Parts: sequence; structure tokens; C-alpha cells
Amino acid sequence: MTRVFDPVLEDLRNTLLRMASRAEAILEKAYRSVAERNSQLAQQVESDDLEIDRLDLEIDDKVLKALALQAPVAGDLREVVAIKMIANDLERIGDLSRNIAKAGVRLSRRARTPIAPGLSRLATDTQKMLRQALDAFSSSDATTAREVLRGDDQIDAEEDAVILAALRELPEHPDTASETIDTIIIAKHLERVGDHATNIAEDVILISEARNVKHAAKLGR
Amino acid sequence: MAMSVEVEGLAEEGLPQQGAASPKMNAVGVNVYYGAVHAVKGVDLAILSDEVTALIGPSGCGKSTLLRCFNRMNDTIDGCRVTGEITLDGEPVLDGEIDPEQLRARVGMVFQKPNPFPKSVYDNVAYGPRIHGLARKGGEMDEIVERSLQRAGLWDEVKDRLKEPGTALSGGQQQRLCIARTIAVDPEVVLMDEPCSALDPIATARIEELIYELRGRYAIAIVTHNMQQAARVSQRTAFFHLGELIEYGLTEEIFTNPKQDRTRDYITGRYG
Amino acid sequence: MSEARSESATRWSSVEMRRRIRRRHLAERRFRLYGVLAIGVAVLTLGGLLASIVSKGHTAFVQTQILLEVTFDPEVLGDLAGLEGEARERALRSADFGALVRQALSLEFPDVTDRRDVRQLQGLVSVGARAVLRERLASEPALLGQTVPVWVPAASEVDMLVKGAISRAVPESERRIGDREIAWLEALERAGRVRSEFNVTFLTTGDSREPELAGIWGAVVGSFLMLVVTLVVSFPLGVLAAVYLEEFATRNRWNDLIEVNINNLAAVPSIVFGLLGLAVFLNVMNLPRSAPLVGGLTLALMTLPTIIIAGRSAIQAVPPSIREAAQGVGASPLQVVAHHVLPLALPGILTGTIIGMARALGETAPLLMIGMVAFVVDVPGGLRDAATALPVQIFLWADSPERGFVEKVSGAILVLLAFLLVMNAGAIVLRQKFEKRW
Repeated sequence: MTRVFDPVLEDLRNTLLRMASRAEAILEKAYRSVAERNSQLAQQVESDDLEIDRLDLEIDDKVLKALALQAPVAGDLREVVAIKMIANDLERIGDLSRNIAKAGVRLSRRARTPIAPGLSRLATDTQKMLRQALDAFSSSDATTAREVLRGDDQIDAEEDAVILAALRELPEHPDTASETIDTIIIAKHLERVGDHATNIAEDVILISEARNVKHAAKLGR
Repeated sequence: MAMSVEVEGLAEEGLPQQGAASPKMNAVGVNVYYGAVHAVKGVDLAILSDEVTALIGPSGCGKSTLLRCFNRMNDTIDGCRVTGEITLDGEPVLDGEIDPEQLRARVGMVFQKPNPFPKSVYDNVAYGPRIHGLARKGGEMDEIVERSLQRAGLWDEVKDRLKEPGTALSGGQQQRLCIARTIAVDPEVVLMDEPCSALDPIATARIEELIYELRGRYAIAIVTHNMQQAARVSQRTAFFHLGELIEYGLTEEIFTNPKQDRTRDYITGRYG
Repeated sequence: MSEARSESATRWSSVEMRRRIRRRHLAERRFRLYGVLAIGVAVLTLGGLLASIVSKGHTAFVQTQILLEVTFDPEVLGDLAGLEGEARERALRSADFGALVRQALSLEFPDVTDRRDVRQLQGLVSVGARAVLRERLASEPALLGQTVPVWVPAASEVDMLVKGAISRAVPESERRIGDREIAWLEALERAGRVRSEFNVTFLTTGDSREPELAGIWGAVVGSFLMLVVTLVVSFPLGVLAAVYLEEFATRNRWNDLIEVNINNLAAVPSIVFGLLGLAVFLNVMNLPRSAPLVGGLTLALMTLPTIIIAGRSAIQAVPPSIREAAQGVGASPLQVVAHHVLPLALPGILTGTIIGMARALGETAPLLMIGMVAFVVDVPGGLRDAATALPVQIFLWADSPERGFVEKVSGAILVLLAFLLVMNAGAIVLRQKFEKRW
């Protein structure tokens, strides 16, 4: 006989996984729209984000019901709460992707200038980080999650490099100022996506090890 | 905070769609008096097929009394008077043509303290079908007994002990035996009066799983003083207080956003 | 915090506490001693009673017999050789077997010639010897004309003398049996012609005027038939009444009145039931006097309240959860009672019935009122034949002047106790069979 709660938890996980795959897709599409200067893709990102928002509401509803009706404890409780937190991060990633796409639209209206090389590397690494974090969640793998946490520093470094390079560009090429600014904006957004991926990894560790490793660096844990 | 939002394309399992079929049993304006004491005051309550309806509320609020009206068990209590209307598939139950003994076969009851007969396991389950003449040939009774014990989740544990007395089983097993006994007469409704309150947590969990499985077959009404249990197993919940029905609705709404203050106070534990 | 506790804390090891404990232990020991003493007194009394009865009654099971050389002289008895069937029976009955006894005794003591002495000599042998000889000839017709040794019962006084009830040391004027008879008896004893045998007569025949021939069987059969009637009448009525009063009757003032009356009836002196039986069964219904039917009916009236009360108590003891469970499955009130309540109440009902039956077995007063005090010799064949009952028989024998009946009284009491034991044992077996755990 199965517990009454198991199908509820399974359904919640599946909903989150659906949201996760959409978040990955939207991030990839958003950067591609920038790289290819494709405004059509950028518009698709707009509606994709709505779908992510809808899934976020669905998870809100389901989490509330699960807590109210099933009163889960121990690992079940951590998982339900963590799913809500991950959903928050995924929703933010959706919003950030949308903003990246908007920047892409602006860029596409300008003359073609080459993409800063650091930026594509940043984008690739960020997507890899997100994928790793989501893989860690679906297999409850704390080891992979810790790798994600370690990778955050590299993302930060790459973002710093892009911004520094862009800031050096600015006084020398004032006519491409808005492109440069958009580059900086996109870099910052990508770095934020990386932070959210880090959050997701921390939630995975919470679920599988019952350990809260958030703000470790700042709090010296 | 109200989070029961209409989400496209999602029909929750087990909930009746908009405009569900008419209720299996319906109580309208039911009052119950014990002598001069007015125990149940003007209650309207529906029990739907394929669903579990939970009746919750503090002690002495009349939920058990109301439950016992549905199968006329209150008839057996001296000085108890029931007014109002109760129907089963639309037929009146209280003053109508339905024979009380047949009614109790169609509307079965499981009691708080497991009460198997001091007979063998087999005879416990076979008693109901026997007195109602449900088994025509010899082998039929064996089938009925096995089927009922299977549905009650007890068959594997007792199939080699059918001749042993029912009272020799553990508490949880005895309660499942009582459930098997109740469903042996193929009822349409099963009433449960705090069926788990005398059992330990593991036995309780097994009974809850059983209820979850049985709801596809019978309309179930369960009185419980354990709110979490009501939240776990039921689709609809009715909250009672001092003999009145305060709130009745979908379980998920009652437990996430109750509309009445008294309901909210009780559920959150602010009510003593 | 800890200071507050030690201020008001109970000092469990203080001197007063220890004294209290000691006193309490002593009180418990004393109480237990009282219990043991009470049991001891009860056991001693019971044991003493039993010992007294056994010592007085065990001789009733022994009969003194005298060996006579009997010649079945056809000249005295008549020509029986050619006769058969009814004619033979009539001839046997009218034949003078007493003469044979006299002849045999004269043979033993040829020098006793005086008529008075002869009569005294005859008095050594019971009048029942004739019946013994008659039966012997009836079963062995070939004995006609033969001389055979036959053991015959001795007269009551001889019986008492042999058993020591009459002392040989006491002077003759204070004895029922004379010196000469004792001398003859001693002669017979020396010749080995006196023996003490198990008294089958006591257990197989009815009452008699002669103590040595008196038996308990008539009373046993009478009591048995009476108890059958009592059981058949009072058990169903009692159980049904108990069931009705407990399960079906509404709680109103009339029923409360009935309940009080039934409880009181159980305490009514039994002789009142005898008066009732006399008035209703004998005077109004004209049933035969002294019959087991009437005795049984009267005792049934007496036993009914006991069974009803025990039945109600047993039915009340059945837990209501069983009833609810049965009702919940759709059993009608009758089915609940028949399938669940009665089987569980049966041990208690049987206990009440045993108590009632035991009381009925031992009651004398009501039976005296309905006339079972007659001297009844025959063993009753049916419910309407005249009969007597064990306690009445004991009463009648106790009332008799003959010395020989004293041992019979105690013997009969032992039979009564045995009867009770068998009844109780049977009831316990039945109870065990129906005992169910719940």
C-alpha cells in the first residue's frame, strides 16, 4: 500500500521539473536571440516567461495544499519547502531571461558589432551551472550540487572581466556606448542567473542532507 | 491568500466536477434531542458517492450523534428523538418505507472501539450476509468472505486463521475485521465513527490507506477528532460546534482558507 | 526554586512515616489472618458436618444377612412343577414361603420347641426373606424339591446389633433384642452363617415399613421426575421473561414494579409456594395429589424468580458494543438476542439455573403442603403417579420410631448430596462448553 502523500509529492516534483526545463529553455533562447540578433526569438521569450509564471502559481497552490492537508514532516517537509524556494528562483530566472531578450532586441536594432567574447563564455558557463543544479535536484545529488556552489566564483570572475573590458571600451568608442551598456546589463543578468542556480544547489543540499549552507561565505560557515 | 485558483486543464483527482450528481445521502433540517437536550440543531449535510466526507469538531458537538442518524442507530437509544429529513438515493430514511435492518445493511457503520463478535474470523464476516440471505450456494459465502477480507486489506494476514476467534487479533487487525464485516453486505455508504481513536499510529495509517482505497467504491462519512486525519483522507469537510453545522466545503478550502471564524479558530488550535 | 521544594517537601523517611508504614503492614497482616480464620471456621464446620453424616450413614449401605438351608418343599408350596405363565405366577404369590423360613430356622435350632421361643427365633429373620425365596424359585424353577443354602436379610434388630447400634453390654430390659436371641445369633455367627453385604436393596427399592427393607430409589425417581418438570417449566419461562424484561420492555413505572416484585418473590419463604400449589394445582386444577407433576410445578414457581434474576444479570453483563455491532450490520432485535446476547449470557443463566435447581432439590416445606408426605412404597412410573421426594423421605424416616431408620436418614442425606454433586458437575460441564471469551 502506498502512502496517501506520495502521489502528492510526486506531482509537486513533476510540476517543478516542467518549470525547470522551461527555465533552461528560456535562458538558452534568450541568449541566442542576443547572439543571433534575432528579434523574433526575443518575442517568443516574452510568452515563454508567461508560461513560467503560470507554473509558479500552480506550485504556490500545490505547496500550500500539501502543507495544509498533509502536514509533512522531516525530509518530506524540507522537500516541499525547498520546491517552493526553487520555484521562486526559476521564476526569477524567467524574468531575467526576458530582460536579457529585451536587451537583445535593442542590440538587434543597432549596427552589428561583435559580441564580447567573455560574454558568450559567461552565457555558456551560466547555462551549464543551471543545468547542473537542476540535474542535482532531479537526482537528489548533493555532490553535484556542491560543484555548482564552487563554480559560482568563476561566474563572478567572468562577469567582472566582461564588465571591466566593457568599461575600458566606453571612453574609446563613445558611439557604441548603448551597445556597451547593454552588454554590461546582459552580463549582470547572467551573473544573477548564476546566483539563482547557486540557490537551487543550496536547496538541493537542504533536501538531501538537512543542512542549510546559505550565505556560507558571508557568515563564515 | 486564497490559492484555489482555476488552473487551466487541471481537474483535481477525486473532486466532483461542477454540477456533481445528486448526493448519495442527504440530511435536511435534522434535529436530534436526547430528552430535553438539543444535541443537533437544524443540520443540512450531503454525503456524496465516491468521496470521503469528514465531520470534525470539538467533543460533544453532535457529530457522532448526527452520523448515527444516517443509519438510524439512534433508534436504539431510549429517549432519543430525531426530526427532519434524511434520504438515501432520494428515498426518505427516517419515516419512510425502508426497513431499518435493511437500511443498516445498505448504510454500514464502523465503531470507535473495534467490536468483533466472539466468533471465528470467518463467522464474523459471514454473519451479515447470512442474516440477509446474500449467499445462495455454499461456495458463495466463501467468496464473499475472501473478497471482503481482501478489500479490507486483511486477507493475507488471516487466510490461514479463519477459524480462530476474531478477538484473538491485534487491535488494528480487529478494526480491519470490523470493516470487512461491514463491507461484506455490500453497502452503499460506510459510516465511520472515530475508527482510529483506539489504535496506535501504524494501525491508524493502515486504516487511512484503506479508507483512501475504499472511497472509489462506497460513499464514506468519517467522524474524527483528529484534524490532520480529516485533512489527509477526506475530500469534503463539515465543521460542527455545539450541535450546529458551522461550515461545510471542500477539504482543501477549509484547511487553507476557512470562511468562518469559528472554523478557523478550531483548525488553528486557538479554540480549546 | 530548590529551597522552596525542600521546605514543603514530604519527609518520606521520617519517624512518623516509618511508624505509619509499620502500622499499615500490621493491619494488612491482621486482615489476611481474619480471612484465613474465616475460611478455617467454614471448612471445619463443613468438615465436621460431613464427618458426622458419613459416620452415621455409612452403615445404611451395609445389610446383615443370614444363611439358611432352605428346602423348597413342594408339599408346602404346592405343585408348581406343571404350571406356567400366569397360573404359575399366581401360585407363586400365594405359596407360603414363610413356612419354608420357619422350617429352615427350626433345622438350625432343633431344640427350640416352645411356641413363644419359636416366634422369637423367627424374629431373627426379616419378613423380606419370603420375597427373596420367592424370587429365587421364580428364576430357578428347578430348585423345587431341592435343598439349597440361601442368604436372606436379617431382621432390623439383628441388623442394628451387628452394626453396633444396639450394645450387647446394656442390660436386657433396655434393649430391643433379648439375651436368647443374641445367643442364637452368636451361634449362627460361630457357624459362619452371618455376613454383612453391600445393601443393594437400599439403592434399588422404595420405602418400606421394615427398616432393613427400606430403600431410597422411589424417592430418587420422584425427585428426578419433579426436577425434570421444574426445569422444563421454569427454564424457558425464566429465560424468556429475562430476555423480554431486559431487551424489549420499555422503561416505565409498570415494568419497574414488575422488577421489584420479581426480586421480592425470590425471597419469599418456600412454604408459601406450597400453599399456592395446594390452592391452584390441587384444589382448582384437580391434579393428582403427591404427584411429581404437581411437585414440579410448585417448585417451578419457586425457582422462576431465581432464574429470571440470574438471567437478567447475565444479559446485562453482555457488553453493549456487541449489540451495536450486530445492529450495525442490520440484525433485527430478535436476531441480536438470539445470535449474540443469549449465547454470551448462557453461562450466567446456567449458573442461576443450577442454583435454582439445587434449591428445588432440597426443599421440603412446599412438598409437604401439596401432600407428598404420604407413605409411598412403589417407585413412581410416571408424572401422575404418587411419589415422594428425597428431602421428604428423609423427613419421614427421621420421624420414625424404629432404630433401624436412623442410619437410613444419614444414608439418604448422603444420596441427596451425591445427587447434588452430579447435578452440579453436569452443569459445570455444560457451562464450560458454552463459555466464550469476549
